[in-house]
Amino acid sequence: MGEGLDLDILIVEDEPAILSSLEFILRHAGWSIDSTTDGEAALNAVRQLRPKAVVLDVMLPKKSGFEVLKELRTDADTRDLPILILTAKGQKQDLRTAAELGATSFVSKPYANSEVVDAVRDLLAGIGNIDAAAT
Amino acid sequence: MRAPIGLRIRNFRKAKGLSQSGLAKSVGISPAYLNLIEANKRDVGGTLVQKLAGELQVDLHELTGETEQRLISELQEAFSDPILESLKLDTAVAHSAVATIPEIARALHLSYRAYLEAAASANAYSHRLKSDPLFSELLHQMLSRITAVRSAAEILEDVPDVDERSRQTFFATITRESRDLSDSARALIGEFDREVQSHRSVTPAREINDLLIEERNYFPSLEQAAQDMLGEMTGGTPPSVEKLTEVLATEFDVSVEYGGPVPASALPNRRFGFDPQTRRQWFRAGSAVASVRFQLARRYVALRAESLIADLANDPRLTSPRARELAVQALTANLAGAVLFPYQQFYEEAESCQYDLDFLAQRYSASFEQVAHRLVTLRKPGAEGIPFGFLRADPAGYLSKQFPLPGLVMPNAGHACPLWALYGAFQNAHSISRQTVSFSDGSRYLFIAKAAAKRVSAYAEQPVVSSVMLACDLLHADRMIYAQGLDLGNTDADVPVGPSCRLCVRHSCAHRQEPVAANIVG
Repeated sequence: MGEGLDLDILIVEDEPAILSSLEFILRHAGWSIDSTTDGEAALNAVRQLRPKAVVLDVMLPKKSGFEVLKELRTDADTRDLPILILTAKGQKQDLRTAAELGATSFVSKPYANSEVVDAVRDLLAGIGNIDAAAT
Repeated sequence: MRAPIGLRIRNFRKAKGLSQSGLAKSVGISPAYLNLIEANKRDVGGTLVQKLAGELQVDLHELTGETEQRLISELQEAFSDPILESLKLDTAVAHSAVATIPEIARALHLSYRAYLEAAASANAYSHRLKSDPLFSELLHQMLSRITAVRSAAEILEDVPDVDERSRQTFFATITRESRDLSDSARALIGEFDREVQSHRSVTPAREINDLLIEERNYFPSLEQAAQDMLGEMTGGTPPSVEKLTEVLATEFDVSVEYGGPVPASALPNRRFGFDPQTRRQWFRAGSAVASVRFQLARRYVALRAESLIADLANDPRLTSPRARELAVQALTANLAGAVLFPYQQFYEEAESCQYDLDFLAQRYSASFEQVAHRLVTLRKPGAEGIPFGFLRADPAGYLSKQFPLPGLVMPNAGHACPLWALYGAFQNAHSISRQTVSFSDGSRYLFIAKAAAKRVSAYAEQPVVSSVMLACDLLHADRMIYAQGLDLGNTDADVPVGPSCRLCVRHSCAHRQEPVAANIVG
C-alpha cells in the first residue's frame, strides 16, 4: 500500500488478474490509484489514505465488500464517500443489498473496461447509478 | 359451450363416403336439417346422436366430442400462456381446429405440455444456479476469469502505448485465466450432465419456496384481508380466544370443545382438529392457550377467506395439486398470523424491542414459533422488518418446516448442518441459542434458535419436541437484541458451517456425518 495523500481511487479486489487490469485502466485514465486485497485492510486504507472514491469487490477475504460498505456508511467521516461496487454474481439480490447499504454505483462482472472508467468518472462527479438499477 | 359435433359428423360422413342426403335419410331427418347440424348451427343430442353414431359406426364419445372438448380446453390454456397469448385463439377457431385437424391440435397440445416440462426444468436449474453453493462458486470463478481475460484483452487492443512489461503481464493473464476458465467450464458442464441424469420434477416444497422467495414472503391481499377482519371483529386489536370462539359460532356455526371425545379418525398425537360433519373444532385437555388461539384464528380465516386463499394458491407457478394444497395450508397460517399480529403494530413493537422474540411472545400471548413465523412475513415495502429465514427441526434433526431466505442455502428436506444452532438448541431447551456462522463462500449469518416441547396430557404421552431457528444476514444483526455482546466484525468467532454435509465443501470438518456429494468440488 502506498502513501497517497491526494489519492483518487482505492481499489479493493482480491483476484490478482482483475486487480492488475483495474489498476492499469484507471491509472491510464489519469487517476492516482492504490489498492488492497481484503476487507479489513480496505477499512484501514480508507481511513489512512482518504481516497476520493472506492472501487469495491463484493467477495473479499476477512470482511465482505458488503460489510466494508456498511462500516463505511456508519462512520460519519466516510458516510458520503463515493463507492462503486463490483458484483460478481450479477444477482438482483446483491444489487439490492448494495443499494440498501448505501453503495453509490455498481458495475457487474464481466464488464468492459470502458464501463468501469465511465462509472468511476461519474462517481467522482457525484453521479451514481445504483438506485435506478436496484428497484 | 357447444362442442364442434357438426364438423365431426361431416368428417366421419365423408370418411365413410356417404352423401348428406343419404345419411339424413337413414337417420330420419331432412338433408337441410343435417346441413344445419353439420354447420354447427343446430344442437344435436339424445337418440339422434346415437343413431348418427350407429350409422357412421363410431364411438358415441368420439362423436359427441368429450375428448375433443378437453383438447379444446387444453389449447385455450396453451394460448393463454404469455408466449402465445398475442396470437389470440378464438373459441370458434379452437373448435374448428380440433374438429378438422385433430392430429395437429393434439401435437400442439403435446408440444405445449413438453414446453411446460422444459420450463419447469429450466426453473429448477435456475434455482440451483442461484442457491447451490457449488454452482455459485463455479459461476463466481468463471465470471472472475472472464472479467480478467476480457479486461486484459481490451487493454492490449485499445491501449497503443502499453509498456513491454505490462504487455507481457496481460498476455500471461489471458493465457493463465483462459486455461483456468476452461477447467471451470468443464466442471460446470460436468455438473449439468450429472443433473440431467438425476433430474426429477420440481418438488412441491421447492415450488412453494420459489414462490415465497419471489413474493418476498409478503402477500398484500392477505394483510388487507386480516386488517378488514380485525376491523370488524375487534376494531383492530388482536382477538382473544373468547372473541374467536364467538365469531366462529355466530358466523360459521362452529363449536369449540376442550377435553371432549376425540374423533376416532384423529391421529394419536393430534392435539386438535376440526370435524366438518359436526362443525366441531376440538382440542385435547390441557392445550396451551397460544396453540388454541392460533388454531381458532386459523379455522376462522380458512372459512372466512376461503376463496381469497384458493385464488392465491391457484398460481401458475405451482404446477401440481399437492403444491397448491401445501400453498393453501401455508397461506392460511400466514393469514392467521396476520390476524393475531396486526402488521403495523407488530412491526413497530418488533423494531422497538429489537426483535426480542420472548418479549413479543409474552406481549401477544403467543408461542416462540408463532412469533418467529410472523417475523418472516414482515416484508411490506416501506415498513420492512429484518429479512429472516425460518427452520424447524425435530430432535432427530429432520427439517419439518422452512421459509427461505435469499442467499442462505437451506437443504430442501432431511437434515441441515449439525453445527447449526437449530440443533444446539436441543441441549439447552427453552433458552435462546445464538451463533454467528460463516459459510464457505464467505457469507455470514446470525442464527437464533429455541427448542420447546408441546404440552402433554398424560405421563405416558411422549412430548413432541421441536426446535425453531431464525437466520438473518449478519448485515442486519445489529438491529437485533441477540447481537448484543457479540463482536460482529470478528470472523474468528464465527462457527464455520455449511448447508448440510452433502452440500458442504469443508472436507476435514470433524462434525461430518456423511460424505460430500460426488459432484461437489472444493
